[in-house]
Amino acid sequence: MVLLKVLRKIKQREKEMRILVLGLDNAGKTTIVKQLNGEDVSTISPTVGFNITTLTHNGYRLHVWDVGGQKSLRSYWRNYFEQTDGLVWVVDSADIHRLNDTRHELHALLKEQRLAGATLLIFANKQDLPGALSAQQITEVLGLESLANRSWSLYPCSALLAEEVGGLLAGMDWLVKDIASRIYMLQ
Amino acid sequence: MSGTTHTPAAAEDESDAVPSESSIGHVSVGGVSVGAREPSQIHPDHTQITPAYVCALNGPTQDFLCPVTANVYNIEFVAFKVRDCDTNQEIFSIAKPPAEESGSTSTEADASTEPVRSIRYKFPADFLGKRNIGTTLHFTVGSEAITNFQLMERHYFRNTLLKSFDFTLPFCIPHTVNEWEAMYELPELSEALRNDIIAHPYETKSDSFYFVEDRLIMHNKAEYKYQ
Repeated sequence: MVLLKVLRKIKQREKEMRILVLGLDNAGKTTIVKQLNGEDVSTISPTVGFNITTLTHNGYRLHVWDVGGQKSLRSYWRNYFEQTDGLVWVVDSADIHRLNDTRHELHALLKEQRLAGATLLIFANKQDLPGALSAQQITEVLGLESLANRSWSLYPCSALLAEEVGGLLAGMDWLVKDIASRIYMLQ
Repeated sequence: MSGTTHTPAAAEDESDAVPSESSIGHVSVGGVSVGAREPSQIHPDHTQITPAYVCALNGPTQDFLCPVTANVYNIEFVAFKVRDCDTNQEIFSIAKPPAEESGSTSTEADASTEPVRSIRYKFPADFLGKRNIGTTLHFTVGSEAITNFQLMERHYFRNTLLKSFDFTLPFCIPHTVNEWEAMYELPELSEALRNDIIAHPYETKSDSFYFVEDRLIMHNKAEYKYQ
């Protein structure tokens, strides 16, 4: 009976993942999380701190940490790296002037030892805006092709539009699947 | 967020909810607690109260286990809402300033500037049948960074523990506004217990203890009525 309980607890733990959502301010991190959570996305204001929630996706419980992206907050990001299974990097695909910033910040994160094992999902957000770069262009700008030893994938999306939630779900499907395959491999 | 929840399905299962290896040495046999702390007991000074201590309580406390001044980090709760995660319906919402639904709250604070430490909830009876609840707390942090901010929440009907929750936030950034949604899997209650709870409004109570680095900084109470 006790053993059964222990086994059950281990099993529950297996089905849990910790997801860290980062990106520059105004990239749409909170909108993505709220949209995935089925919440209202019409009145979202800049995150000056964090939003944390738990999403259920394909039978997994995702503990999602969405931390504000303003410059003054970025130095605190490192406090949230521990035990991260998946890193979601959100890009405003229409914010042409800050593409260098977003690449720079992303590559700094990827050097972090504590994020070394994390799966990387990039959301090329705001595809609905005029002048938004395509998924292929964002891939090039971010220098993703040259990433070694990193499981990554990029999904275009328009997080503000409820009818476009499919883009977000496709990205999350991939993320969860990739993390799950790693976790099971370790056993 | 790391969270663990314990669901004592029956009284004899309570030993699962309270780790027997805790320093308090709580032992529960067939629903009769041995060596557990009586809720009316005089508690030590708040600086001595740890998560293990409140874990050994077997009923709601009579008093607040710390003064308002224990909140040296200036953590302030600015909004709170409860939703049904299965239907995504909002069940309860309260925010500061005012905007609170009158009648649904009561304050035991002496001065109007004091934070509200206890609240009375009225929920429809079918709330007791809900399985997955999300509570969202909006809070602000003062000028100091906070590490290991822990919430321990204990729900009782009279002196029976219904559910105990334990969540830890490893880090909070100074001068921030944060939103923390905790997901609760509610225990399945027997028909008899459910009826008993409905028949006795406000005898279902909870204590929310907030710790920073294992030191008690806030204690809030709630009472529930289901109709």
